[in-house]
Amino acid sequence: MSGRKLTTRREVLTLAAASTAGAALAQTTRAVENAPAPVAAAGEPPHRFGMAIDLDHCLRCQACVVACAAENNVPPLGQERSALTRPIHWMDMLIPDEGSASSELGQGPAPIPCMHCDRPECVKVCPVGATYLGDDGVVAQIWDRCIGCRYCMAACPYSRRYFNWSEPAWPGDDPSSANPDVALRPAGVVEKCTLCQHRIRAVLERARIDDEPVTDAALQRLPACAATCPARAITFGDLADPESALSKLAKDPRAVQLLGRLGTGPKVFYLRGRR
Amino acid sequence: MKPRLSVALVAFLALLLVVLGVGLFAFAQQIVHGDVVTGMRTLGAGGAVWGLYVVMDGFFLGLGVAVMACACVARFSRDRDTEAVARIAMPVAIACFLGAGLCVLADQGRPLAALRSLSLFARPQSPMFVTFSSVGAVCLFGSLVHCVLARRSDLAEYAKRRSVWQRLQRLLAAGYRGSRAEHYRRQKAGFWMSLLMLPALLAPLTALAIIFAVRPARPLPLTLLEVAVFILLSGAGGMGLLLGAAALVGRLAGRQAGLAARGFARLGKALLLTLSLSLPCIVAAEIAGLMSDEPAVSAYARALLGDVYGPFFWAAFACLFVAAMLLLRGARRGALGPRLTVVAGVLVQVAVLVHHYLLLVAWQTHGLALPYPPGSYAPTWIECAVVLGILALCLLLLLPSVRLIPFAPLVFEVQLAEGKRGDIRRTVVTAIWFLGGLAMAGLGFALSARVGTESFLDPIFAGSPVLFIVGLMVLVTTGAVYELWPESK
Amino acid sequence: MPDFARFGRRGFLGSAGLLAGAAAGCRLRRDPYAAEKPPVPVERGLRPGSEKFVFTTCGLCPAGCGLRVRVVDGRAVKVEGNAESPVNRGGVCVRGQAGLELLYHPDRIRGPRRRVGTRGQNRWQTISWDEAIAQLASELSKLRVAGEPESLVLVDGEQTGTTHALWSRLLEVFGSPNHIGHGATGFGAMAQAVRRMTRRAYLPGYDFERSRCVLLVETGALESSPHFIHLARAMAGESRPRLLCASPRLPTTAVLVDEWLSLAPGGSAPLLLGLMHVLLREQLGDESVFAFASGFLPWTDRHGTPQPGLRAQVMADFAPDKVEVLAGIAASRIEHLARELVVARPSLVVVDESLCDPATASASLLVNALLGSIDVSGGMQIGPATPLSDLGKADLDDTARVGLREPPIDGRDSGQGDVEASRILSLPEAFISGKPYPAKALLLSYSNPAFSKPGGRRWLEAMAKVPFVVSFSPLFDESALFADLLVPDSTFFERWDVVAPGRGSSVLSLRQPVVRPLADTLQTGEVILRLARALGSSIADAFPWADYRQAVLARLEEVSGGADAVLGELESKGVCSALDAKRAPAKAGDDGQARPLLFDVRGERSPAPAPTAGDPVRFPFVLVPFRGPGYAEGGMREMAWLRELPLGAGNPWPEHIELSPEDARRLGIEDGETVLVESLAAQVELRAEVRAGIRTGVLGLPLGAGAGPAPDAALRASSLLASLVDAASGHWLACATRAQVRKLS
Repeated sequence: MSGRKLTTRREVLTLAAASTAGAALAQTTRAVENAPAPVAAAGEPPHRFGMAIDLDHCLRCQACVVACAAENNVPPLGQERSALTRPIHWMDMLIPDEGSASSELGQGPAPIPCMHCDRPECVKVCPVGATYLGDDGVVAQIWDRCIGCRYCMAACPYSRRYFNWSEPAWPGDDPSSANPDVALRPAGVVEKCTLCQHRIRAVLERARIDDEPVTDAALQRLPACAATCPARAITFGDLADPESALSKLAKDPRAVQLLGRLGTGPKVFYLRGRR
Repeated sequence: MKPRLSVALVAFLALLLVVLGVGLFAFAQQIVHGDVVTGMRTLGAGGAVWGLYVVMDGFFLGLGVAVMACACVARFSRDRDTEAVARIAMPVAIACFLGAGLCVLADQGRPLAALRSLSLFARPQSPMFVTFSSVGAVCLFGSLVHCVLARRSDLAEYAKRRSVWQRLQRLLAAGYRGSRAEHYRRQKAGFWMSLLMLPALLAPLTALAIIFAVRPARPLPLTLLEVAVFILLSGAGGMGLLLGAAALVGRLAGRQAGLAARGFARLGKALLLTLSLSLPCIVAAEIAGLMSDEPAVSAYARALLGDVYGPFFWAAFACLFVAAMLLLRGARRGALGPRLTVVAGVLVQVAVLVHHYLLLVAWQTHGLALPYPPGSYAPTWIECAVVLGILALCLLLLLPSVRLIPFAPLVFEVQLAEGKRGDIRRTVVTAIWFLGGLAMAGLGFALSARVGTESFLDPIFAGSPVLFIVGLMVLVTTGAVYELWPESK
Repeated sequence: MPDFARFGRRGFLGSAGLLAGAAAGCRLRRDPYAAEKPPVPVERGLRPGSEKFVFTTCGLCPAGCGLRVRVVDGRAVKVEGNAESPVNRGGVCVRGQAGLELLYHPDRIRGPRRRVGTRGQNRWQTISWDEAIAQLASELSKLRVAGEPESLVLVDGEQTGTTHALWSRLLEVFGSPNHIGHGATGFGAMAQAVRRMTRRAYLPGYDFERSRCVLLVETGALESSPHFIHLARAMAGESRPRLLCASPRLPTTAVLVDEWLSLAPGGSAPLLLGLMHVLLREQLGDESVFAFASGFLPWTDRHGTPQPGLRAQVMADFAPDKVEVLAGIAASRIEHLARELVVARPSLVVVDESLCDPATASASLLVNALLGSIDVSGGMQIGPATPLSDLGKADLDDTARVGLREPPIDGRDSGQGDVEASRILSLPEAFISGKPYPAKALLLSYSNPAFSKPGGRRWLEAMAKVPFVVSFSPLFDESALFADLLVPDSTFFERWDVVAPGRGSSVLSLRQPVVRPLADTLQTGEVILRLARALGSSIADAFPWADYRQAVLARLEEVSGGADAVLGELESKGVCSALDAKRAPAKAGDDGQARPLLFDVRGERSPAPAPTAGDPVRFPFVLVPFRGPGYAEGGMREMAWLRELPLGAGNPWPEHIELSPEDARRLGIEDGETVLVESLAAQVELRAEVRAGIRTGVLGLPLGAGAGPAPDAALRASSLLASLVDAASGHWLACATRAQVRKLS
């Protein structure tokens, strides 16, 4: 190249345009770094996390509902907004309508979180990949990417997803009691149960730091709902571990899956039918 | 011919502006307060998550695709009547596509984030990918290109006179001289573009039909029936709209600009055919639903006949039936005139709107797979205002078409067309352009589909959906390249 | 044709620019994982900042569950359970989980306040703690100086605890017999029944885990009574008891109840006595428990009148066919039920102690005794005694002694000095009439009677007659709005204490501040000590402890091992539960001799049919109040998560009334419709919830809900309840109010 100085306007513009383009390109490729890191350490078999709810122990006290809301920063609506729309309950109670045919869970109310299906309908239809089936079996979300099209809500056969119809507001605008481990979601974003993925990662992180294996005992009452249940009706665990309490419960003759005939492969098992 | 600037027209324009203003205000309320101001609510908790916006999106997209498809089909024949169909159809289609795009954008929880996220991360595995990418690239942009190319002769004529639009008209006319070679190229490009556009238009419509009709627990035969009904009814609705638009153009811009009676008759017959295909499918779908083992499906089918949705269902069915009967009678007597066909067209459009509403909303309130209590949905004034505002905007944007893409053609003569031999360079460039577009679209598609990386991670190149859309845009401008490439000396 | 030469130079610039821009772009990107403080390993993974778990004890109901609160950077973010606590073993109920809403409530009273303007205007002046204590002391001293210490009335909503003990002591040395508790509208019936019959002063616990059949009369254990957590623990086990529920309404949460017996309102005592009849008649029960009980067999009272004795009365008046009429349950079912309870021993009869009437409470004790289910595994536990010792005798001065001789203002017999026998529902009339003497000062601690007690509006009129009213509530409530001085208590998350939950266990549970007090509040126990010091002379002498903690530690002295050992265990585990062996409980047969279980059943005369308030023709329905799953002491209305529970009414915030489908159809009322409910006491508009599980003729009335406190707020549902009391004990009859319901046309 000759040593001619940059004098022409066109050349300056070219340089400017190219630099901006390069910067923009670098920004977009940043997205690749935000991809979820694989959860299992190298050499370990992948996990398949799931849950079991024993309906013969569950008193329907709804402690799981509020524990989940407290852990995952789902503030209540308050009186005014409650008149407009129902609250968000990642762990909800399925209250069967008296006129309809009953589900596999029978007539009475039952706790119902996200099923974390192995073949999730919601993941199939998300236009931007804001929800995905992680390699640990948890159907997780990237809230920042959600555009609020609500297709996943329509596609979920269990209708277990919730939309932020308005901006969540904390009582007195004071989010002091918010859990720092869980992001706050703005209006216009769909959210649902994450199996307390932040707690799962914490346990796996600690196991890695302490260089010890993850025990099933550490997992059984790990999510907020399982931890709080006064009747120990909710069990969490790794279905990929045949010795885990969850795997044994999943094989129990009392175990049923909701809408199993649809082939979505839900990983939440309900146990009922004692007597 | 210039349409007369009468008092009625001015009043109408003022009304449209007012409606647009109210719509903007309503949309601002929605942005500020969130979608809670609409009538939509979470499924299973008493509501429907998709409401008026998605219904209108389906309605407009269906109409637009059908109208544009009519225009493309009309391109294949050289008849003056069918030429009028194409001429009238294209601006209407563009307005419809614009309306569809705006409706669906208004529906997103975060519209600006939607533009960003879709551009960077959209994935073709979702049916929405096809709809959002095609509506912008193929439907809207493609129709515009198609339309401009078709009316270059009129634009060149207009560009001769001084006016505020003169520069734009000259730009779009792109040096039209009216030579025989240009006519030849116009016919060839028009033919091939129309041929390619047809499947390209059907793709988003089918995808939207899938979005409307595929439900968990709904058996495949029923889904296929619903998809077929959706597409057929969209076609019928489009024809109905076209009939109405043709009648209106004829009224406002003179009989020469509008459709001849023969054109109305032809369209009327096509409408009758479509209706006779859709009516049995609707009946079959409802019966299949009622007889289904799946409780969610039969509940939905029963709800359609029940207290809440029964009146709508029967009203829609009646409209379709009456329209079909009117058309049949007219066809038998050989008296398919403008009045009859336009009335039938209006009935059909009402029926199509109601059908889309039922198909979308009824299963959300009454057809869920788990035994949730039935919900209810009614649009609030915000949703109605926004939709009306979008409609007003589309109508307002049709106005410049008076000057830019005039309904009334100035040049009616169809000159002899003669191709130029040995124009190898043009062919080669066109081929390269086409293949390049195909390659870009293909690459964009593959990368968006997470080829080369795990399905649950990001695409290798974030922004590949944009590449796909650009590729599609390149494809639809192939005709323009062919027509506009400078002639070699 | 493109010019390659120029393209070359431009191309170079372009690509150089591109690369430079890309590099700059990468640099400009913020690293999303960079943290200001380096992350450290904590229990929950790896995070920057500080995280700790603090043991404390829940205060939202008297059960006393052990909690472990997660505190991040000085903010309490999550309530977990303490696995070491035998009460809840790591589980936390729905109210505990919502507890942080109370701590961070935006409407908390931020410090002591003195009224400005007239009562009810809600205008306050901020004062310091010294000023508040000084004002309190000066007002109370005026009473002593005038020789009227008895005109001090304290309404205290706590059942037990050191603060409660300090209040008792203060009132005693002050010279007022008027320590009024909430027993008459709650636990008092059971407490007095236990005391009368067994001469023990404990509220019973129930060993659900080892029981084989449990009859729940009324539904408290399924919803929000302190027994809920124990029942839940029993559900966690491999084998759980058979659950039967006899009540006028079955909650929607009662899915695990094996059988519901639809009980007529007011039929609980007749049902239990009917069971007793069958057990006695068929000789299925253990009659030897009555061997030492006076009044079981015919006896003569002090006037010389012969009394038939309880046995004869039960046999005469509570045959199953008579009970069928009173309780609405088929005679054959009652017979079968009695046999069921015997066959499936150890079996339990559990009543809802917060809403039962005295007859039901004593009948449950009698039936449990007859079933042999008292103080056995799987049965009703009366005792052991709390490990916390008394505060010791205090010296009284003359003013105090004179004041204590006055009759208590609530009209209870002077001999019944205990708080649990107090009659809170007589207070409004006493204040308004000024008989037996006018009240000059009213202290409200853990109490909001204008809202929660029947006859709500009357309370405000009554309080208007008292010249000096003080509220210790941490949140604004109806009663506080009409007070003159606000001395806000800290929430239980900010207090230090050692809690003895009792109810069949002698565990001690630590309560400690999880965060520094968020507002300028002081726990009431501290305030009592400072007030005593400010009052001076003999009162101050009776409170030698430097602060509340010292007072509590003094009560731990007699625990074997001493206070330090107990404190050490409390601080390391949150609970100290190895105390059963340290203090021998008063069990039958414990010291080798056959100690009687039941001493005295003379007071358990066959109860007359319960009266109802309201003409049956004008008011054909009966109101059945209940405390739903979200009911929490001290502020359920403020805890929005509890108001928005999915198993509740359709729209959670408006108050509702439960109605059976048959009645709804007959009256043309639809689910969710607003209806007008009318009783003798009030007329209120409520939302109708029509559902199965409600007996016809019954209106389920959830307590504790309603709009927030405001002087002109709409009438609360609880104002429908009439203040009808049992003549003998002054205890409130909860299911005694009749009502009418009408569509709003």
